[in-house]
Amino acid sequence: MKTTLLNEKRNGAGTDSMQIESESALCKTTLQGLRDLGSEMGPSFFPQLLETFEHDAVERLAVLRSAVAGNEPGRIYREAHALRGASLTIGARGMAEICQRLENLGTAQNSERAPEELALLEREFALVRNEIKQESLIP
Amino acid sequence: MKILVAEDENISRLVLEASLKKRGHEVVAVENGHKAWEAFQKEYFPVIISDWMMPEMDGLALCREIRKLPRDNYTYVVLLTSLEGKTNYLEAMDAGADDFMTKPFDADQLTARIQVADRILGLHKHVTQLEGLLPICCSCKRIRDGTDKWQRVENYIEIHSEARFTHGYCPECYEKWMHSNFPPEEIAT
Repeated sequence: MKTTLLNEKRNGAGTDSMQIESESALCKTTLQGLRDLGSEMGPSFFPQLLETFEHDAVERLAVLRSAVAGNEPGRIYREAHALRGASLTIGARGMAEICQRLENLGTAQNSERAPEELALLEREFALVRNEIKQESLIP
Repeated sequence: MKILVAEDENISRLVLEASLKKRGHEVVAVENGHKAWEAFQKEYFPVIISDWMMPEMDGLALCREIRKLPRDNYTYVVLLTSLEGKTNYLEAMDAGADDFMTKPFDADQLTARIQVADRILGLHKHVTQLEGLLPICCSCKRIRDGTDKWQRVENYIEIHSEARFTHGYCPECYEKWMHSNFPPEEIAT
């Protein structure tokens, strides 16, 4: 299986500063940027954004599961593409990386490794979800 | 500036809408190309920021429809993309896109793109004004501007373009001027 830089970091490889980054499934800088944007848009903006991401990701993962089970590269590509866009915007880089690999499989019309990548994506989403809960508690 | 945003992905749309509003723009945000097309037919938007890949009607199809619609005012179209490759960009340019922005967008990049749009729209307005029919007095040759004031031709052009005038005589007028101010024997010398 292809190991990515982010996964290497999460597994403990790299420098100390990289290790700090690896501890978060959500990029703190991106989150702070969104929080700052929210401070001008109203107090509900940031929590609603996190909630929307979580809700949409659950739905897209369900479609991805069905597309992978049905061996549908086109759907795998479309859903992974949309989820990658949302993940990048919210700072979920690990999810975005896995989505990119799923997109590539979809483009190559080869979904052989898709179940494996999907399992990784589900695991990464669980980490992101946990951090979203923590973020939602921070005023 | 009034901006139409078309993006099917909720998070990107919400963040883009908020970022534009923060910069003082009036934003109408919709979730697919078809809804964007409907909104565009109802009213004029100087700028459209649209995702490339969308259900129902994608960004390219939206661009083509916009360019087909005859309107006096130009609409500057920015396509959001995470696609790569020269061929795709050329295809979008052919469809009528003016600019591109990769997702997730950078705040400074967004500001820069809107500034470029504003500049292009301003230039387009100038060109349209210069290409339009201008009422001109058949006697004194002054031009009536948009505020119903009559201006000298050179004043009007200087205000509405970057052109500046230097004053001189054309050969024909120079000849007439010489003959009206000097005797023929003096002109001959």
